[in-house]
Amino acid sequence: MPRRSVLVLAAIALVVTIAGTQTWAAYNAATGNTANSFASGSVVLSDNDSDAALLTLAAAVPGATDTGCITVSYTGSLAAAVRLYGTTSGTGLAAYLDLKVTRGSFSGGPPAFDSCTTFAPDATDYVGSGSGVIYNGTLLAYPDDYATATADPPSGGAESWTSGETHVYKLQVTLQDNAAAKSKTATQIFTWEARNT
Amino acid sequence: MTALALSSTQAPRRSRAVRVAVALLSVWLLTLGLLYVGGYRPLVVHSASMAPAVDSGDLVITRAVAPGAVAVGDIVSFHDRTREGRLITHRVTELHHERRGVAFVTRGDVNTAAERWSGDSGARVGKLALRIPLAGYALIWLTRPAIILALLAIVLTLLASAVLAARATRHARRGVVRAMLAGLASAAGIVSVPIMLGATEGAFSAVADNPANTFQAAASFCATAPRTLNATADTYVDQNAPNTNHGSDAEMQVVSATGQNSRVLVRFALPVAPVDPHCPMTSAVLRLNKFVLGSSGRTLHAKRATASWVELTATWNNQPITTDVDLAAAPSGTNEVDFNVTAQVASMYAGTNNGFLVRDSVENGLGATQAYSTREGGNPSTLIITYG
Repeated sequence: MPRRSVLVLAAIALVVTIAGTQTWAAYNAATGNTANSFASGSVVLSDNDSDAALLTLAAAVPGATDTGCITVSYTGSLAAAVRLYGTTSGTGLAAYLDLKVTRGSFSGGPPAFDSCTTFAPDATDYVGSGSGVIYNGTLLAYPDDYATATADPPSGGAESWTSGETHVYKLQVTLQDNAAAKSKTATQIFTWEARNT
Repeated sequence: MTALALSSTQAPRRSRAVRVAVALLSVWLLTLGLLYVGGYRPLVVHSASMAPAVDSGDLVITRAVAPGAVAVGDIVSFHDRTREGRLITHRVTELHHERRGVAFVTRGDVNTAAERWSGDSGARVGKLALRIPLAGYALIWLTRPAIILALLAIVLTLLASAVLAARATRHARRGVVRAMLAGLASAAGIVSVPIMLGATEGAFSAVADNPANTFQAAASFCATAPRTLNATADTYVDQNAPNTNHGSDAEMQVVSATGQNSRVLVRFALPVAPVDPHCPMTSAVLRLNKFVLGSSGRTLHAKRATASWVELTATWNNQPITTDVDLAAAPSGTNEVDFNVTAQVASMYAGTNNGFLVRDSVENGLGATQAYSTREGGNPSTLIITYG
């Protein structure tokens, strides 16, 4: 092999190394090593609300409250972790609404959607607000995206949900005693998101 | 002689084989180099979250582009900070061009959950340029450590063989160098595969939403209903009869006429203010109801009386003094007349309740007369107080 061919080969190898590092640094900085596993299967999460609202307050005065329970079920084939967050809109009432989310199960047969009859909270005090409570704060402070979402459960390590797993969530909203809340409104979407682990 | 003849025929074959190997590796490395220079990158897909458009085991070639070059529907690779920075390949479902860059909403075709992320103008996003179905499986197999080691062992064996063969020729030194370089190039080609090959990982997700939760606070937090009070004392005083009391009359007059002015006196028993802190008085309206007469075009003033008066003894000459503080004005008309006396009633609650005096704003006129009903006339004046 001619010597110049060898030099060309070496030069190409050098160009590849340098170009590969610089050109792709913009979006491959955190790329890990190529894994040997290939993921196939499904992540499927559902609830029993039939798109009906869980909570409603109309012409509310201080102390007005509403409570509802929703059942969230996992039927995906891949193990998944679940987080809770939501989307808030309105004219500012969210700052004056206290929200408590409690995870648990029904001790008897599941009642109709929204009813909390026979609801039994998890025994664990996850956030120091009582058995089963996973969020206790204002609606305004409730996480609004996956990045800041409340892990389920929020302490002791997120659980890995498997097919057939079901949890019941009891949500309670209460209007604070603050005259600044008058005539204000809020609209809330509560979201449970599962991602394969 | 036999061994020498064998060597002399095998040596050119090995030399050709080395040339072919070097040429192939040159093409391989040159291709990779050009891809990188052009902003392209090979990625093995490890997830079926985009199936069937991009499936698990596919090899995709992505090209680095500015966020502004991406359109809705494109399949892009990006580092998802909510998945520990893993490289994810999903489809763009929404784009929002913002001042500092582009906000993306992406989602795997089989997912129900979306990712929201953004790229500033200087960032680069990997846009899908080419998909080679199933090729990722082959490349992943080639990059297994055992395979790499096996290939390197083969190269080493061939290299040793080539070196031994080269030593038997006349140009031994040159042959050994060629063989060493060919071996080195082959090893570089083998090792380059796992180094340059990227991976885009599994990203299945799903959401369950509970929508349309609506909350509305009342306009008032006060449960106390508005109160409508009827006058408990009413009369008028007449300049034309300065010592005459009209406390039992069915009507009371406001008159603007030189030497014959008349003024109305009216008082209400104020209720105890609600103790609920959400029930402050928000308005108080004094209403004088029509008797028989009324004329438009006059402005009437309602003033707070600051001294007491008695319905059955009040006259022009002993009428109470008043204050112009928080004076309420209203136009006259053929029907009832309303005065906003909120501030005056608040002062009555804070001090003494002596009622109101109503008069024409410009007295000593040409005889404009307003006549209102008294309690005795059956349609008394009212005070409407609203709370909350």
